[in-house]
Amino acid sequence: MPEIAETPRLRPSPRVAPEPVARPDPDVQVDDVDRAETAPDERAEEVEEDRQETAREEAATEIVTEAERSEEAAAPARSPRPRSRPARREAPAQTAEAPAPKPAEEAAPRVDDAAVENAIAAALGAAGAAVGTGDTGTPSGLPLTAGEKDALRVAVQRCWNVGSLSTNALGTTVVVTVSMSEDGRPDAASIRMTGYSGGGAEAADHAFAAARRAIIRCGAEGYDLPVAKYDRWRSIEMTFNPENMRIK
Amino acid sequence: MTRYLLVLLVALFVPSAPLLAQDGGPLRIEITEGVIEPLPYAVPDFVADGVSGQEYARQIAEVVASDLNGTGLFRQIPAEAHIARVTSFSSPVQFSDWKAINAQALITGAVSVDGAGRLVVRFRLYDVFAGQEIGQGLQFVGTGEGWRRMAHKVADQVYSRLTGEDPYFDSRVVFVAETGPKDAREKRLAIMDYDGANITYLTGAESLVLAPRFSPTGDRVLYTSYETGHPRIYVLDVASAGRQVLETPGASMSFSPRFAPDGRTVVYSLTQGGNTDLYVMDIASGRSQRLTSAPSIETAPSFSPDGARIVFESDRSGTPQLYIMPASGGEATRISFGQGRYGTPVWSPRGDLVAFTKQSKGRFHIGVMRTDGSEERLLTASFLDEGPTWSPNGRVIMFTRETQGAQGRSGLYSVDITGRNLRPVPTPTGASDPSWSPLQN
Repeated sequence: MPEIAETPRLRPSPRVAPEPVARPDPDVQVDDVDRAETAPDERAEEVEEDRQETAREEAATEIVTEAERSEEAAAPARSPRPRSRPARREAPAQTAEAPAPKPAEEAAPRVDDAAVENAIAAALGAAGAAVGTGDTGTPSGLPLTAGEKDALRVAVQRCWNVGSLSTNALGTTVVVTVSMSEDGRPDAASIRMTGYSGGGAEAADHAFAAARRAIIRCGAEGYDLPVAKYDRWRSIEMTFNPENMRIK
Repeated sequence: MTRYLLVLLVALFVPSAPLLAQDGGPLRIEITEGVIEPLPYAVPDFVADGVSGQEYARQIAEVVASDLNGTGLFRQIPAEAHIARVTSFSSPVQFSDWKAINAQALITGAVSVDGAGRLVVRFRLYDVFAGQEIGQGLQFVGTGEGWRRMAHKVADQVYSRLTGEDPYFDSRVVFVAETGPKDAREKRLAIMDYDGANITYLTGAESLVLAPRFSPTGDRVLYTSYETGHPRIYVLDVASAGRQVLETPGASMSFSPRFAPDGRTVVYSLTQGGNTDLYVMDIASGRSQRLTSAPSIETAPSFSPDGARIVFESDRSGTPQLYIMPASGGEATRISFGQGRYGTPVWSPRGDLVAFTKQSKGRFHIGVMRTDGSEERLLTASFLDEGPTWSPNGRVIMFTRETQGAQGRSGLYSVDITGRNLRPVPTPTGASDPSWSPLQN
């Protein structure tokens, strides 16, 4: 199976003529036996009789068009996330104009063997780091499945009690980050509010307190998260949006 | 050439780091559903510093708990379930002991009597699961007689710090105390703490009194009395019980008064020649100004908190409905359009809602709507619910509920603006027409 999805090919349309037409002249003569065409060869010891090429008649119980022919599935087992757009390089500050250098005389490319070998080593090294343990600072390995994320969400919302919040706090969405230990427990001291919207700072403080209680309480025994993917959830950003919890 | 090809193949088929890695940053999830439950908290008896403080230590903790429990937003964990004992106000809190019983907030306090004989109440509030204090510890100093108010003040601080709402426990309610059967009921003005404690009667039972209304500072009360045979409006000073009548033309009936937010002006209804309209009067000068001049009945006016507008009840459309007009009079806009009759509108202290009484299909309701008439919500339903009044923070509504039948009794009830936590307010006799004071100083 391919690692990376290829550009999908257009599905060919069935090519069955709507009306029957006369069979075209066969390329070879139909016979019960397949025979290769022969030609007289004067150098041969045994002179073989000259004969025409023949082939057995093709037979099928149904018309199978090109479009209906099954092909091996070409979908990749997994596909990597698209790379983020690289930062646009700023144009260098314009300085005093220097005379444009004259183009050098075109020379034949020279192969620097050492440079080529270094490039190969660098490419292999980078690939090795990508499948490593995440020492590069970016999460690595398989991402959490939708089910795993859902389980975490449900676990937190079980403890997200908004019953004692003010009406202003109930109108405030807060974004909270938390660092997790490998056993699935949140580090209480790491819980921070990184943003809020819909209410003032005071309302956000109360909304944050309720969110923090939820994270700590329901994480006391450790959230059910896949240890193998720890690199993906060592830091979590949770957005607590109380829109559905307001007085209707 | 072969080497170039090799580099190209490596680049094409060996996955590079950015391709395999996530987009970077933390795992992101969004929480949109939660639970609505009372917050569990613990309030052990306050520590008594000295023998003289012992009398109050338990009582203050009980009033604090009663205030918080009464909101319906908190659930007290009983003392029997406590693992830890608080024996010193200054000792560090063992959060694990409180976590173990799922106390999410912890209130500790101490009571002492200082050298001048004054009661000193200190408290601290903790977020148990965060393992930290919420706000700073506070202390209140007062007389022994004022211990309930000090307890209310502690509860106000706790409530405000935990919910984010403004406080309301240290407030009072003026109402009409009722005794006797329906056909011979005696009515007099009474004032009490918001929770029914410390009742004082302001008037005798010799004449009928109606619709008391607190001033914005809580030091005076407007009410309507029939002592001259027809309704007249009085201003009563709460501290001295001294009173003053608002003079209106001789053959008129004045009623349904309410203070403007400045406390100097009163808006009221005046019936003259069979027609009822709204007027405002400057209390000091007695000068009045007519606000409406329609052949219909205009009554039950209530100012917006900024004093710019008045919401009132009028039957100009054929049935009683709610209207809003500028405080100086002028064109009124109807805001109630549901089925039934609407009356006794009261503007929320927050300015965003209007509470009202609604009669529909033989039932009475207390409801709220936005000031443009949208988002109408009915909070109660009974044989007779009427006369809403707002808590100082605009979160709770108190009202009169009367039971059916000749022996039917009037009582006071409160309900959260969410429609939850409907509960009776204890009064020693029947009660009606409540008016909630602002928060006391």
